[in-house]
Amino acid sequence: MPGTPSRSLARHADQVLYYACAVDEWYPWKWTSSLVATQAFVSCTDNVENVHGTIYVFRSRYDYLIGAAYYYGGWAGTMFFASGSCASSTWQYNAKLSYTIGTPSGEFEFDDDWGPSWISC
Amino acid sequence: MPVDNKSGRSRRWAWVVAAGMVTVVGLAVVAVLASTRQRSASPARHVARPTTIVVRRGEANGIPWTLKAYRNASGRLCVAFTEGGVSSLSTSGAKACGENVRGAPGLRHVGAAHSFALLGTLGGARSQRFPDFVAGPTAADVRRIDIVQSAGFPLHISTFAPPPSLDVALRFFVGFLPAGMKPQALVARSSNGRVLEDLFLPSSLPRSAIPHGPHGPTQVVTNVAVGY
Repeated sequence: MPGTPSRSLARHADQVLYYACAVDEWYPWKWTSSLVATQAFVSCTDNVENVHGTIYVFRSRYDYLIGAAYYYGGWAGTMFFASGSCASSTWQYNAKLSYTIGTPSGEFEFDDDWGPSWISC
Repeated sequence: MPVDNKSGRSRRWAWVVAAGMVTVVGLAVVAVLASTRQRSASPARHVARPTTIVVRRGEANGIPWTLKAYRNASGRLCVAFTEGGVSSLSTSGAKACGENVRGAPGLRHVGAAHSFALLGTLGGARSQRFPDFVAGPTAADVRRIDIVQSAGFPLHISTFAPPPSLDVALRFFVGFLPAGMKPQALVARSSNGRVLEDLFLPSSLPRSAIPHGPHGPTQVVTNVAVGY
């Protein structure tokens, strides 16, 4: 009589739901003569039911929030975009994305930040 | 007649004493009721807020990080890993609540609980100095998490107990991946090295449909989570 395995990998595999989202992040850039912008694109595995969150653009590290936008999108891909006023002298600009993925297991939150870009308007 | 006078005085004293006693008892009852109302009203004025516990702090490539945990309104455990650590607005990180790990509080799942849960960044191409990370809670008997890669030795991550103030029978892990590491699986092991559970990661992580040209994104981060 064959021995009983101590565990079943297949059973574990059936129960585990793995979620992953890739975030493409664009460093802040000079969008117009008076505005800087940033954007991020979120794409997730098929088992992610929805994506929503907020993108921010800051001047001088994270001291001054100059723009933000909230989005609610689908799992297939969500583009986040925000812009804000650009100062006349050269400053560093940073961006941040806070987003939540809705899944059959509940919601998971992620925060990503990127930058800086040195921009003068 | 004197007898009657004496009897009348006695009756008057009796009424005075009785009235005094009623007054004292009445005041006492009012005082008790007021006190009771005050005590019963007190809890309503204090809305319990979740207390965030710093489970562990550290540095990776000279950048601080923080692993925090708290119980949410449903009594479930929330775990947050953040780069930096003071303000969530200025840091990268990940958070999950109610992960189905053996020993986690407030769970009402049907079916088996698991040995560990995972939050992290894997396979990213971050240009920033902060490395890809894995973090999460484990069951109390998990003493090591191995990150297996296709080539090279596995990365061993020891689990650690949270501060007693968190009041959970769980352990936690935090690990950082060397640049370019492509993890294939995570394995939870007991103190004697026995495999308690393993998680095979998908061979292909999601990628943007947007081509990476001269005007494309400057970096890609892949965030991962495991649910049950």
